[in-house]
Amino acid sequence: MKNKALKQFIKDKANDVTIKDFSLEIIEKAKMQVNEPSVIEKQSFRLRLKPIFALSLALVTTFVLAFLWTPSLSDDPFVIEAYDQAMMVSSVSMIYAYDIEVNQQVSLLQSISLDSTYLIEDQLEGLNTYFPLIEQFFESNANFDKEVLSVEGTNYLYHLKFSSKTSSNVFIDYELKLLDTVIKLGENIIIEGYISFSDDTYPIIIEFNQNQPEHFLMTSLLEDEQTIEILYEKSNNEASYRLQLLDRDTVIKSLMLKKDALNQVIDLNFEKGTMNGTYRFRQTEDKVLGVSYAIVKENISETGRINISITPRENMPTLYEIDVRPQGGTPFNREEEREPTPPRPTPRPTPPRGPFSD
Amino acid sequence: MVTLKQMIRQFKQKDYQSFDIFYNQTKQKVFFAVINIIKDESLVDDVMQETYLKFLKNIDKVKSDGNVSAYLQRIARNLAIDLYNQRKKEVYGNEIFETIPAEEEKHQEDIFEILDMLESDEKEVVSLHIINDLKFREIADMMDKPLGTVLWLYQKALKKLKEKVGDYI
Repeated sequence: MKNKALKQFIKDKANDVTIKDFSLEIIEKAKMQVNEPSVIEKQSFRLRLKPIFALSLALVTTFVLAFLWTPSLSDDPFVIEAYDQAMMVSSVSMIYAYDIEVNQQVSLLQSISLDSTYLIEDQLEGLNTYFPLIEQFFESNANFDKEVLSVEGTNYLYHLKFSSKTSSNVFIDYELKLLDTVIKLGENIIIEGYISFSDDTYPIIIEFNQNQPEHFLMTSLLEDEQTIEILYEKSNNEASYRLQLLDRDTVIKSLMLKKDALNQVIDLNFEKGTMNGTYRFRQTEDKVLGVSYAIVKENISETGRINISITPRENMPTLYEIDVRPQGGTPFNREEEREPTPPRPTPRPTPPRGPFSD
Repeated sequence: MVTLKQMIRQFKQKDYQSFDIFYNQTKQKVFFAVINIIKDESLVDDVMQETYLKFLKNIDKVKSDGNVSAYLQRIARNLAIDLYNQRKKEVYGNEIFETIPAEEEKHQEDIFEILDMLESDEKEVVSLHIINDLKFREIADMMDKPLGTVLWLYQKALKKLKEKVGDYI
């Protein structure tokens, strides 16, 4: 018997139930209700993450998972392989470190100032949030350290602890735990887990089709009715991460990151309302990024090129010198600084070398 | 025909002319959010009325474009649990869950008898998902259980139901 038939049977049986009509009584009582103080409903446990904060955290987790993911489903589906993904772990950790500023600056991506001549002017300040991430993508050595912890005597399938270093040599520790209860619904596999940093722990849910283990959907439940979904897909030399912040079924924010290892380009795409910006990054030389961009807002579109020179500075925010050349327009320059503000970082006098470091 | 959004707006202005429509559109879901917790029919009636009264009392907090049905179900479930806890024990009525029919009578089973083949949590997950159309994620949130647990309960419940009533579908 098919599930569909069973469900319909249950629905039909439920529809047979006669439920009394109390509408008149309720209206009468409602009209008589005096203005009593409102009862505060007991709140069930909910995550209290700022949306962008959560978006960053979810991204970190997805990259971790992408790092762990393997194309075969053996007894242990989380064999540590995918060496190149290690860079991503470190890279995305950078986003996390910049979270507070991301929260402020992404909002700038969502509006266009009437004073601006070019669309890119309004996007630059928000775009620079992602410079460290993009920079890390191109780095040849990953600044992270990892440790596989014992799961003996626990209900975990996997327990990983790793540390990521920001450009200011600040370390942030994360722990990833995956529960050993693997749920199989048809061809779909569902695994629950947690990611922790400092004293905070956040649940995650990973879903994938057993025939497509290199694609997975990770969901985090946020406060109120918001969720974050990240769809990870890997094919040949390309890995893409589509992040969506949803309020119920409505997409509030959307972000796509795509890494093409063969051509050494990284695409970054934002969607918000009617605004869409696409950026293709190439590392033209050491500490220099070349960017082609296309921005569309309603019936306005703009293309152009950007050159970004990166200057890390001791005990100071990294400096980004940005040379913008809108197509058919007048070139202009900007300088931006990025200062990591990681939450509760773990200071370390001597940065340890990760197993994947050069 | 008045839309749900319009009805919520009316209720916020203490205009209840469409309440009977709203009640009849939502009563089944409220009922099944309660019936797996409080099984005495008269108590279910009380909880249902309390649910709508509380809903109307807090109507200013209700977003007209939110999931009103899920909100109602959450209120109903919380009230039912409160009542259950007050009584410290599950109350069984003699009208709804009295007996489980014999094998040869399975074709006559009603929904309560079918649900009663399941454990308490399974019953609730099946009701909330299949009858009340809530997503697993919403159920997990409402029941304060991990999504995976909810899915597992659902899968287990379906398997049981297939074995017990499948031949009669």
